[in-house]
Amino acid sequence: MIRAMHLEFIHTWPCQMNDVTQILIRIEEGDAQATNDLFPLVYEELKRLATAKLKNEQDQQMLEATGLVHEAYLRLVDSKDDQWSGRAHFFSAAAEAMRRILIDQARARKSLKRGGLDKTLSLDTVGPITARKADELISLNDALDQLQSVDSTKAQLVKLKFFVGMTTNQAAEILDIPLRTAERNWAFARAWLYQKMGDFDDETAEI
Amino acid sequence: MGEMIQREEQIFCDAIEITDREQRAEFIRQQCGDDQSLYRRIQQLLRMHQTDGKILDGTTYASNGAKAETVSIPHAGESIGNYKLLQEIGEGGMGVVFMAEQSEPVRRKVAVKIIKIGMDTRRVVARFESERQALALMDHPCITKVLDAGSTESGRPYFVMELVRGKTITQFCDEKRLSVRQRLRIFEQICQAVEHAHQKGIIHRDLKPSNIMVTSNDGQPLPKIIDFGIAKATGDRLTDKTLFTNYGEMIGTPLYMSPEQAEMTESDVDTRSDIYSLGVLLYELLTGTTPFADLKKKSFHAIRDAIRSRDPQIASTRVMNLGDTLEKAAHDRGTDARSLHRFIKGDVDWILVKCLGRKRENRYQSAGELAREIRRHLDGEPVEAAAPTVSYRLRKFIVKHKAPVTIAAILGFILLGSTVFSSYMAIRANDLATQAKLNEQRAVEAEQKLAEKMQQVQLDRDRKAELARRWGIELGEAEAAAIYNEEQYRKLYERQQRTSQQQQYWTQYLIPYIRNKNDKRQRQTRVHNIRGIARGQSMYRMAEKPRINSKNYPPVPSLHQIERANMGVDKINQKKQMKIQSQQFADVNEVNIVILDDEEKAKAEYLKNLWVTHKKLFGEKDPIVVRVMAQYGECLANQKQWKESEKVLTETLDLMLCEENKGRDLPIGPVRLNLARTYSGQGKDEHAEKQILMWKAENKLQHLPPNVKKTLDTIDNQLRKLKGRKQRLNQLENKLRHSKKRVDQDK
Repeated sequence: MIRAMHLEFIHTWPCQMNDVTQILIRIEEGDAQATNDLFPLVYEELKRLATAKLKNEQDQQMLEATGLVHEAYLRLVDSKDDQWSGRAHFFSAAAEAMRRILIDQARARKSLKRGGLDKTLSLDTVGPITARKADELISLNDALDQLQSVDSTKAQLVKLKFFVGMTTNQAAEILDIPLRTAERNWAFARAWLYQKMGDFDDETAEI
Repeated sequence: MGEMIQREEQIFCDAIEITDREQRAEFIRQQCGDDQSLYRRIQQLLRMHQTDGKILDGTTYASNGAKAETVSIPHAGESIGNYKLLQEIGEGGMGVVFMAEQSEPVRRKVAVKIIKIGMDTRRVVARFESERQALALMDHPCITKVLDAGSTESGRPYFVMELVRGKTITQFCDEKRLSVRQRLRIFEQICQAVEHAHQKGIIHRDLKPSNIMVTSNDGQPLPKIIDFGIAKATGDRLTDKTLFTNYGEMIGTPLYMSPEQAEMTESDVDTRSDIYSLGVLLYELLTGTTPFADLKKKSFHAIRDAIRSRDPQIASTRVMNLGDTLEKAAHDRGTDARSLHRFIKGDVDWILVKCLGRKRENRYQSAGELAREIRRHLDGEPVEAAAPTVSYRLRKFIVKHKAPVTIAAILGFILLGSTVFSSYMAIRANDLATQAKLNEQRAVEAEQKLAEKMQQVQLDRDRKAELARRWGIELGEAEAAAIYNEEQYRKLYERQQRTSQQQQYWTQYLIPYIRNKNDKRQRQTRVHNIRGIARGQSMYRMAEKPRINSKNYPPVPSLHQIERANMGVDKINQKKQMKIQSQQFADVNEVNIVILDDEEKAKAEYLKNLWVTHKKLFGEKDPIVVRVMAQYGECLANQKQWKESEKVLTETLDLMLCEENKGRDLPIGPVRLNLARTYSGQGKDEHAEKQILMWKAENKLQHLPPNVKKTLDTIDNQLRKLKGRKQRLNQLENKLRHSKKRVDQDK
């Protein structure tokens, strides 16, 4: 899945805008295969954008996930309809894509710290992650995997909020749940995840 | 696993909405029962819930390069930059405030507010910097400037402000027991200050009592708004994520939030949010509670939902629902419960409804507008927020001009309280006709308007329902209000109809009575003037009326036509002739204006001449002639020439009651009363009583103003006294006769 990125990609379109739109429409129509087709396209585009952003911005301080995802959406999807449910599929895919990109970065960071250099990741894609944050992020990622297995909606909500930077309101819209429910879910998921992460820390401490 | 997690979630989510710690603990114990492991899990989750500054907090992971660490707040004695912290002076939801001493560039005392909740310090400071220019432009005595911002060594953002020594506005007002008017005056100043800031492009976003301090300046209360510019800098924190996660600990209260702030989409906040918060503040200043105070114990979400979906209870209604606290609220405002309710009901209710509109478009569009509205209310002028009903404006007019209106009322509401009285000195008889005509027109117009209005009110059921929804009151209540309005309209309408009649009673009978009681010369003149004007008007209207409404006034009787034909007066000129008559009568009244009481004789002489000549001209039954006659009779009675007055008045009465004059609006009542006076003057009590009874019967006393009743009662009393005296006299005479008899027998 992970491929080396090259600067040339920034100047080329990795896929046709209408491809993604078409896939989204297929998902809408209930085509199961379409969901699998969507993810790589979104992932590629996000990763390309993220790399470009980190390259171009001098202070390298911020990687605006929200901005990235929306930019990707505008580039890939040929619909400006806010109510269109295809949008939800896109953002769900984008949330997962962002998660992978960021985890990749964190792992790369860790491997750098250990002195090893993962061949598949160039320094450019690592970005501003500190070692401490990388640990925290990886531990969160593991906790999130657990959450996913017991309650996928909550995990999805966390992904949208945390990796895409959506507000609870926006996430609730994408997930098509009431705002109030989303808020409760978020509060619980947050506490739950922290607890799980604490357990990991304890485990590592014991080791 | 799944079930377990669901149970945990249920208890956890319910628990975090209970703000009170003890209640929350109790709730959890109850829910978990004997399940110790569940209890431990919940406790762990809650601990996690209360931690802050970890990976999931702050904005997003990806956008959050530098995150605020969880660190402690500095203590007094420590220094932050150029500021040495002296002592802690307050602790709010978001931060802790220190009194501090600044060493550079000037030595002075300032207030330093350190934000304690986890925030992205760099962003807060950056945002403050971006607003700094605008903040520097604010220069208003009621706004406390934010001087500086920065971050502590441990990474907390802090703000440096002017030091204000005072109390929060609610505390200040209650302790000083400021009256509602005084509170409104302070509030007006606050509005002006907010307007100033808005004009410089600064929105406060967090106006609430704890952000408004009041100090005394030369004995005058001076409000000081603090924290201007801070809410925006720290804004995003309040808009979404952590607000929910840690609300119990970190934010004060959502009670002052506008609906759009409660929505928590930060971009959608403008100056009108501050107007809403000002409305909440005013509501609290006047009633002692906030619009949604009844939800205080509910969860943050319940309050937020209420703000977004409900309109608050009308302030005056809330006051009456205060229950136990009502007495205290009234006491703190230096008044009693009823007066407090009365003061708030009406205008203030309207103003609050407009401030607290859920849609911004329905609110005052600027703080200045609100300030002006408060001013208007304090000055007793109509407020713009109120429904512009005729009765409302009239009420305002009456209350504002209480004295003149009362006098006008004594005059019998000379057509919608026109300016007759105030201009009487200047009005010559000639102008009277014009004036009367004008009033006539006004009356007709007003009549039409009222009729329209009544119809509208009747047809407007839908609107009533809508209003009921908007005000959050029962439809019944709205209906009642509408019915009340209708009633007002109807009364006003009837009053107009009665005006001309009442005018007669008042001017012809009552005023002479008043005059007899107070012989102040000036007053007499005034009474005369008023009477003259009123008569001139009514006479003119007599002449004009047939043209306006021939139904109410029968055509000029044939007698007139014959008379006039005999005298060579062309029929076509009849109307013109009548105008001349009215002019002549106006002349009479002008004489009235000049003649004073001690010149009654001359007046009687004049009236007699007028009567004789007019009788020759128009015949004795002519209404104008009869009127002059009545006046002549009254004049005689005033001089206590009882015999003459009896003759003239009985004759007048007969003429007024004759067939030809039936249905004409002639002053029968005053004649009867004058006649009664005449009779009782001569001791003919039975006759007098009969006239009064007739008078009462003719005029259906229950509809008359109390003053008239009072007058009548006085007369009745006098008569009774006289009767009593006569009886006593009789008794004495009998006794005398009896004793005389006994003396004779003794002899």
